[in-house]
Amino acid sequence: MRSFTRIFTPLQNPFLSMTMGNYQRIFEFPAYVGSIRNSLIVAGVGAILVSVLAVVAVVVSKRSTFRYRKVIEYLALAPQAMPGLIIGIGLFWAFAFMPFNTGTLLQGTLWAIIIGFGLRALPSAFGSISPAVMQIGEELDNAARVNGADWLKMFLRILVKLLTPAFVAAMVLTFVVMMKEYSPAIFLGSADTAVIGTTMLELWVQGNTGSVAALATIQIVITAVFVGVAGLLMKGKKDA
Amino acid sequence: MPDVAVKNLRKDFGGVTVLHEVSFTIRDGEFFTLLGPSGCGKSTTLSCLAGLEQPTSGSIAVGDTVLVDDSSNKFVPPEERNLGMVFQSYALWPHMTLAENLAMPLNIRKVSKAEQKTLIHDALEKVGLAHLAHRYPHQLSGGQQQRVALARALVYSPKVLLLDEPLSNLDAKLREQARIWLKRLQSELGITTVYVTHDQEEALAMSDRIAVMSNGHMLQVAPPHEIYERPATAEVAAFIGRSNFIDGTVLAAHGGAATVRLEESGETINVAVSEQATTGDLVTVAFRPEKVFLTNRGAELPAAAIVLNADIITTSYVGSRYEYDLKYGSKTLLVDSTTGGLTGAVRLVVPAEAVRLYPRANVVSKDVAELMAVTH
Ligand SMILES: Nc1ncnc2c1ncn2[C@@H]1O[C@H](COP(=O)(O)OP(=O)(O)OP(=O)(O)O)[C@@H](O)[C@H]1O
Ligand SMILES: [Mg+2]
Repeated sequence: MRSFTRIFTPLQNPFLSMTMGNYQRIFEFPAYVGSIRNSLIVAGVGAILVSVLAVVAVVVSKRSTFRYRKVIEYLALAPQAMPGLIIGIGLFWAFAFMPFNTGTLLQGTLWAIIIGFGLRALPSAFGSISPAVMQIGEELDNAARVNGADWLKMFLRILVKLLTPAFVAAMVLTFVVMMKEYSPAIFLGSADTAVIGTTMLELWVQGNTGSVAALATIQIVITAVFVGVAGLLMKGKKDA
Repeated sequence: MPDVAVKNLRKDFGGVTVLHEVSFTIRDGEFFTLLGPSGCGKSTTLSCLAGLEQPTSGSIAVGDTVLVDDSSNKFVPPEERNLGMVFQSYALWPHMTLAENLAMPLNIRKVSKAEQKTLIHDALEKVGLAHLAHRYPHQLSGGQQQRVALARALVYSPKVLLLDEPLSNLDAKLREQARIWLKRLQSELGITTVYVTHDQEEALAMSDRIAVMSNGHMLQVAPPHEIYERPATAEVAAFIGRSNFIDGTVLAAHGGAATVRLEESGETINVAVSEQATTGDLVTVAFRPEKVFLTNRGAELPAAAIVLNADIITTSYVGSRYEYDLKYGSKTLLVDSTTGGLTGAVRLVVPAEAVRLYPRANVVSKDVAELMAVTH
């Protein structure tokens, strides 16, 4: 409601002060449009990467004989317990100390943001894929192995196919989480890599609550559209 | 097809030993069954054969090919063993049609498309399902899925076929038919088969030889007839078919015979013994309910028989025969008879050759013993 009004108080009927001005302001400034674009890139690329990583982590931790499989599960779930700011600071220093200055290549880029947000989203992706893997009977893997498939072939031909629905669900979830995320970006971002979240924070500090509401609305619309499209895609697949 | 040799196979799961140094050899073309109660280690043995579990120690070889050997640290992974396996849940891949399920092992073996087609058709034909090749597994009944699983295990002509309770998910009637069908298919193909079941009837009906397992030990490996007629231990006698057990003490032993005093009644009997018995040995006397008969007290008796005095408690009619529960001391004995209507005090006649003598063993679980004890 706030996003469509100049001022929003209980003292005045909000419909009297209707305006598109808040949206105009956002679309007029390239920096703000840029932050929406950045958010889309971060959430889109991040959703795919994080979901792939989550699938691999779940499958290795639940279905392989890898010696450190329990450690992998622990690592994947650990960011759950860390505040976003801490992850941001941690990565900031990690980039700073990376050998051969490779860290500076990442620092302040969208990749840094993707890594930071991705870490935050990994536990929920792991959590959403894990039950799906547990549901696929271990005998299906074993049958493939006895039939002549090595672990990798088994994974690619059996598990990947059976995990597609869970993978899409994890992607949607990760997308939504990464769309809303902002705290790790405070340390990892630069002026060029502002995302919706950080821009909102900035506008809020400036007291520009109308624009904050407008951005939030845009955020919600993007999320809703994405969830809707993913849902349709899945449905189409099931019918096929 | 070569022999399968398993030597001193041992498997620990986190400090718990599930298989204790199990050794056996399966002959070429044999239908070999692992039989035992739930949790005795049958599936674990099969998994070690398939390579899905790595044994803690011991060795497995098929012909000249060593699959596992702890002394040389050799372990062939499952995909390189070329064995066929049917799982208890059938484990058909739900996202593939039957034809695609069967094509998977062939694709991996880089069989040409044309040849694949004939192989898949032949394998599905063998199990009578060629007309359903393009269905998905969930569109089939349990019995059909079981046959597809078998077809998939056979399509690449494996060296050995491993079956883990493949019939246990079928209803009783279908199970009986599937048993006959599977046995016929196996002997037609002449493929060496290891079959896991906890169903003794299934094992007796299908196997060339049975290995009876209990708590990770192999109690006896023998053909069905021998397992039933000459159980090696009291435990085998208890697990396969029905048996009566009476505790006793050896009073005298000479040559192939022993005189045993029965604890329940103080009666003494003479029995033939296969192994050496010594005076003072604590033993368990065992005999099967269908090998004995009942007469009224005072009737004429065959010479070489053991006669025990007992009282009838209950009679149940089970169609093909009558089953009598007899009170003998504080024990209940089970006896089959074709004649009904017997009551009261009877003589239980046990032909000498029907009696087997074992070292004293607690074969009946405590719960069952309490149920069976006659308290009045
Ligand atoms: N992965 C495992 N980790 C720990 N213990 C195990 C594992 N697999 C099996 N066991 C134990 O080993 C024992 C033997 O199991 P196994 O599956 O071989 O039994 P089974 O004879 O096949 O029984 P069933 O007839 O119930 O299938 C059981 O006590 C089981 O609890
Ligand atoms: Mg089992």
